[in-house]
Amino acid sequence: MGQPARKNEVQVFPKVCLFVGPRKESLSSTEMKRHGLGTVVWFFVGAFFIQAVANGWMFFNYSKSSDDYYHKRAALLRDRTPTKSAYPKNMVILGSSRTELGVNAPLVENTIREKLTRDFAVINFSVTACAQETELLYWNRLLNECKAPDMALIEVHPAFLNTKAGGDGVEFNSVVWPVERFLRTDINYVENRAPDVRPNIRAEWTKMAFFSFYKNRTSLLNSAFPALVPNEFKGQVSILDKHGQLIIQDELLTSERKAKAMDHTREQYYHLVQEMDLKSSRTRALRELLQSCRERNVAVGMLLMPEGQQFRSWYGPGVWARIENHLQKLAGEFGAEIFNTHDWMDESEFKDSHHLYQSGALRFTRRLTDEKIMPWVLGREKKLAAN
Amino acid sequence: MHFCSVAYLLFFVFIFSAYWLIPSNKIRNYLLVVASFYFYATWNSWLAVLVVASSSLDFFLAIQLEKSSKSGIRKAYLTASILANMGLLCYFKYANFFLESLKEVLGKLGLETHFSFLSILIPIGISFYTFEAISYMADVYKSKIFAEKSLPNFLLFILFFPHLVAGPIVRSRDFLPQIRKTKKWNWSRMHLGLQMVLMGLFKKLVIADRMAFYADPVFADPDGFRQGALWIGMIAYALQIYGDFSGYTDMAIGFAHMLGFKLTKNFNMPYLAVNISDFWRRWHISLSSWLRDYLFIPLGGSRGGLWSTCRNLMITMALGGLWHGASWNFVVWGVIHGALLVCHKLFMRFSENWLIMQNLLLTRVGTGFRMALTFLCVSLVWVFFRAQNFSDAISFLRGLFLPHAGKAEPMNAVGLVLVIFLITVAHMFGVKKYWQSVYQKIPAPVLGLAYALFLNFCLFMAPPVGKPFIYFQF
Repeated sequence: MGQPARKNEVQVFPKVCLFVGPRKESLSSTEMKRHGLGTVVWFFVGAFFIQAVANGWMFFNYSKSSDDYYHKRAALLRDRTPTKSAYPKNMVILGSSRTELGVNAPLVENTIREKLTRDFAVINFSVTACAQETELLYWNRLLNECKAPDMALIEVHPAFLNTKAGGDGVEFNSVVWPVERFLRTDINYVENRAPDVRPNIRAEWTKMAFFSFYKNRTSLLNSAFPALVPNEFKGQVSILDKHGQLIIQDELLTSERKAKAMDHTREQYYHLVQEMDLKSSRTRALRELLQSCRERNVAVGMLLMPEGQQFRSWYGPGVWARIENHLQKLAGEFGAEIFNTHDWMDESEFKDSHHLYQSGALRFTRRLTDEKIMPWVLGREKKLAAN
Repeated sequence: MHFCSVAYLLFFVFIFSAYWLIPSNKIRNYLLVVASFYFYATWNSWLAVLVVASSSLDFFLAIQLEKSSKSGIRKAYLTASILANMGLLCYFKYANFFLESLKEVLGKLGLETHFSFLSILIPIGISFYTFEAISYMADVYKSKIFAEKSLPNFLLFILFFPHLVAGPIVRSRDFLPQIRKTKKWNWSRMHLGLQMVLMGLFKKLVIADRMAFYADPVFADPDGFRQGALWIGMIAYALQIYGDFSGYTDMAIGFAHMLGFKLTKNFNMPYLAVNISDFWRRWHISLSSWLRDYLFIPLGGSRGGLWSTCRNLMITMALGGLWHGASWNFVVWGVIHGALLVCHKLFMRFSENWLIMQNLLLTRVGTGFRMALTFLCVSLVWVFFRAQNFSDAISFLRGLFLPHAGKAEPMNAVGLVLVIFLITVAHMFGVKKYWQSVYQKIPAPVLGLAYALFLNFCLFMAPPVGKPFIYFQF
């Protein structure tokens, strides 16, 4: 009688680990405890294993970051650049929200295609809260991931060239750039550019990498089941067209809301354009970007986006001339073009004296393409053909 | 520090390990008192001291009350304790509300006032622990229980961190004996605790926080959304508040289980209620039973005629509404629930002689209809609970019934449908008690790995930004 019981006791360990559970209505108290122990142990083993596998997979295979907005556009550039066409084949537009809303990439592309009578891809990489440091980071990413584009239209935001707009790497603050937005390959760049803003970026990123499956869950979910991601967290990736252009329909602001928007713009920019010290890290970033383009024989156009009369009136005496001078020097040094459209548009075309309405953006793009971009593209084509 | 944070996880792991390594029950209880104090102090250390001070006062008053045999003195101790607790509650939670309301009334009468409002921080969970203290004093007064003789034990009853900030409201006669009892490690109890914590996480992260994305924008701007979006927002809020509060309670019960304590059940599938009385037997059970025992019954309960029963119901529910928050919205919410309870009572009276109707209502279709009607009523009344102010609630309700133009729902409705499907499946399991009978038969490795997958699913589905628990504000 005693022997089977002893046998059971000896088998406690295997029972715990591979407990298959008796096929009966209810378990005895001891069996319940064993079952509980087995379940809890297997739960911890399983949770650890799943996390390890998921994060390991993310670390080695998932090359994307949560910056879907960029990744989708990079994929578009790769997919849409014609393979069997003559040079130039493509153009990227780098810039801030001004360009994101104000330059209509489909219109630019269609006009170029019509004039060249062949395929050509224009992808808009502009993004909110972006200035030269982000442009340079995006440029570096593009060089790593894709072939260097043939032409680059680079917005130069005059206010951000000012040292007062922030110290080194201020664009990479954690609000705009949560750690999961960075790629592994961005870390060196950010370490060098933003030593004060993100002093622990490597440690932050490594820590994030251990939980990257969790940290990037919204991005992963957005790829698999976009319907389950709240609109506010989809980013604008869901409303990008095949040119990387935001598809938006903006409403005309009431005078009250426009006044509020103007106040906000003034608060943000007035002090930055009153005086100009052009020794900022962004000025250095712009120089590096131009240098990199020249090394790769990429044609560069520096675009000064239009501003409303009110915005323009905030510039201190001689400030605009200094900016123009500075850009002229850079253009001369690196063989770049300058597209100065500063006073092209009327105040009524803007929401807040520097972001264009869609209607204004179309008018602006049409003129920009006809007067600046087309001659630049044709000149480029001629130059390449001559070579 | 809330249950879904890494800080809490680390805190709990440390306390849990230390607790079970300590052999003495007394020292374990001391550890839990200190841990609970720390838990509260992470929000505000001065308010933690305040909670300890008011609990200590109740402790000494209860001992004095028990010692005294004279009815008048006993009553005086009870009154002192109730006044102290209600005084704290009124000062911290309702002072500004009363001042504001008074100012509004005087303003309407044409009298100019110059009140300066108090700048005070409301102690988290004050409504919960004052009710626990009051019920303790009332039970000692009625000689239902003996006064606790150990201050640490009493402090643990009030401060025990799993239930401190958002309940369930525990009764001294249930909890104090558990504190005195030496707990033994039990794997099946750990398993149960784990189950509850996982279920709570699911309700919070997958249901409540996701539903907030449908409800929040709509309640923030009810005039800006079209009719369909308002209906979706309303249903989403009904699911959000259930997931949020019952998720918190499940986690509280789970964590308490892991420390060897059993907390009272607070929810019993409330949206399956077939009438409003049934709803209150299933929703926030610890509060509704508290209100029944310490307010409704002392007011006379159902002992008088129909009129006095209805009056008592209205008073109880109005005060229950006010308990939730210092705003007329909550009072209106409570009053409407009181009115619904009265209507239900009258309907029951009225239908006593209508056997055919009663039989019809008891059929499957009739039961489904009653469930749907109860859910609809409860969801509509939640609008007052959630809206930012009374006029927003009215325009929300108007928008629900009058077609108008506006923005579409803030998020694809697929998520809402999926959540409703998950809740329905879970409720079907719950009604049949299927899970309780089946989980013991599932091999431990399969069950453990399924839990691990479930945890990862919850984490994966957690929205990018977590929301604080709704009931923390009460």
